[in-house]
Amino acid sequence: MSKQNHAKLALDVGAFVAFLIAMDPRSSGIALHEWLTIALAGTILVHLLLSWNWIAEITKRVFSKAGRNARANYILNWALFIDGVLIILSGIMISKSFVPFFGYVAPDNFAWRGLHSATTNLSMLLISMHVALHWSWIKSTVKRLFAGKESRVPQASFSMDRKDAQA
Amino acid sequence: MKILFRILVVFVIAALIGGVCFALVNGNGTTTTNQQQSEFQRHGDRHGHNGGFSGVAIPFGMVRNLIVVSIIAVVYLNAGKWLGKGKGTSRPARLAKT
Repeated sequence: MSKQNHAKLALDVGAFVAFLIAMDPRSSGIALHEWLTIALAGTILVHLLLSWNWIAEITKRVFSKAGRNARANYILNWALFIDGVLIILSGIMISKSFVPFFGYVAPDNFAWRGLHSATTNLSMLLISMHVALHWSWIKSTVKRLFAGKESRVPQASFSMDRKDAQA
Repeated sequence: MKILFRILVVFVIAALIGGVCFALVNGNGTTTTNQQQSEFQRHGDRHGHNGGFSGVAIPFGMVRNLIVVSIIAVVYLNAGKWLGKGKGTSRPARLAKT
């Protein structure tokens, strides 16, 4: 397994665990919830950079050659990105730990709270679908990691070539 | 340089989405009234609390979320199969070679 796949898997597992913790602020506490989510946003940025070749490739082909699954995956990823931006924005607007740390306290606006709740609930659904769509890649990468064999990681179930995944 | 450009692209798109959302939410002139506040509290506020850090509760919260994610993922992956079976449109049995 290539180093990049190794790094990607570690990053994704870390991000997923952080997501699971951040999704339950009642048990983690609001400070951990906010700081962890900000760290998670950075991780997602790296995740996007590592998948950049695939994103660029499918963006060119999405309306012409891409298969149905690849197109669905592309639309799902966009939904996930938009949802992530809305979660962070609404989270910043109702922040009780992260933003006040920099000396600013935003006035209460319950529209942001409603938006934050709605987008976080939606993210649960979208992340689940994202994991489901990439399940074959996750399974084979983990298998190869524990087998310790240097072999080609199979393609994901959709038709687009993931050049970055094989790098 | 290439990576910086890519980061900039992600930030610009995020800023555009965030800007539109900000304009939509704040443009409506939404100021919180007492009625809205009490209504919100009555229906429950998932994030409007200062829950303290609890090392014991974290694994339970994580497992609960993991179960939810797993259920949705399994349903999503198998929905086609299950629906296909229900309608009797599953793949026909392969004919034996002669």
